[in-house]
Amino acid sequence: MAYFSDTESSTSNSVESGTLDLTIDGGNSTVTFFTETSIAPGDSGQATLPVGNAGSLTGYVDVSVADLRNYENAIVGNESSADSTGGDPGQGNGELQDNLEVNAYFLNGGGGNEVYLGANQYETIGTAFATGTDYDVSHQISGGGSDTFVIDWQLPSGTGREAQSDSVELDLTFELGQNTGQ
Amino acid sequence: MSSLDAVRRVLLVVLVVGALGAAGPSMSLGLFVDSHQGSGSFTASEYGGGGGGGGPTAEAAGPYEVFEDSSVQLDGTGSTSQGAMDSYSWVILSGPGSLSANTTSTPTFNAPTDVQSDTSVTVELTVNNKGQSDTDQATITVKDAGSGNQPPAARYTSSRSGNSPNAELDASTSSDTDGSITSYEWYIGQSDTSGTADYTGVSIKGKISAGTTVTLAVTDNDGATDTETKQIS
Repeated sequence: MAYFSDTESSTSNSVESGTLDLTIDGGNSTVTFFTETSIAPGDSGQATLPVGNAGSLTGYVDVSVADLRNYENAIVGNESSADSTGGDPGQGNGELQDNLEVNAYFLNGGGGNEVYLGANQYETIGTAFATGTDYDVSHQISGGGSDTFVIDWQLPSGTGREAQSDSVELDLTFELGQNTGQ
Repeated sequence: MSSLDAVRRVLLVVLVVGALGAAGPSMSLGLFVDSHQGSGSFTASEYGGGGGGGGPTAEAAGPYEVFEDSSVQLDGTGSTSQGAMDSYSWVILSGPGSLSANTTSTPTFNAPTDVQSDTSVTVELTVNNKGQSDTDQATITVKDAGSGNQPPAARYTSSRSGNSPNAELDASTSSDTDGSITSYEWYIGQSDTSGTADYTGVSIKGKISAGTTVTLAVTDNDGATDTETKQIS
């Protein structure tokens, strides 16, 4: 016995997805966005980094601290009178991270308000950007949109001589996700 | 289209199929994520800093050297402060000499006219600025002129009472024009100073026969020596 049958076909179907494409400083690779040298007590400044979403979907940016390294470098000048470390003991022994203060935020949080990584206050870079710290700020950037990430920094005038010639290196990871809290 | 975009689009297709319920009872869905790294560094200068950090830093420089009876300018211009320094003050902590213009950044240290040997002097600079201060020390070596030292002159007389076997030898006529004699050594029966001296002291009295050869050696405060050898009567 034969059964009725019918066949139809459809061709040239397609599914077009949206995209997320994080850019920092206009590109898709690691960038160095600040190199501050010869800073002294009383100095302050600002480091900025354009953060964009070159995709078509709205995304949310989080920031995490991939690494924070601090170096003694050497005992210079009268640093020896306040720092008994001696010589150059290498990474992890500098005092600049305990004195340099930062306050980080995205500039445009809507309504003219910034979106701070933590509280709107200065903290030492060793605390604010301790290695492994995650800031799930979920800062919204629409497809094709961009914002500016800002680090305000200051070395207080009361900083002791023990931080002379010390240095701090910071690696931040910016992650653009489809959802908040990714 | 980049390879990353390609992966994203594949993921979205899976998501759509999953939402239609045609791909099985359960599946794990991926979400688009993209990340990059931004880095930077801060490096502090050699800013000095007093006890409070941003205060002035004293820098006394040195070490310095100066010959006796001469002078040398000290240099505190390496001291730093935020703005012009309010004041400088230099003092001698130990050792001989004096300072001129000791409230300037470049005072003069006046060495004493004579030192018996190279002599160390310690000076300290104190700077003040805006209520904060810092100190630093430097050493000055006052060098003995050395080559200018005049050696001593060994001289002695001998005498005895009548036929006494004892002779008296007196070196008090020995001299040193630029210092003093610090030792007198007597070598009996010798025309040199080999071996150990038989007597020491500016004058001696002993059983020394007439005609005996006696050598006197004197040493001054700079270590220079002189001898006199003769047969005593």
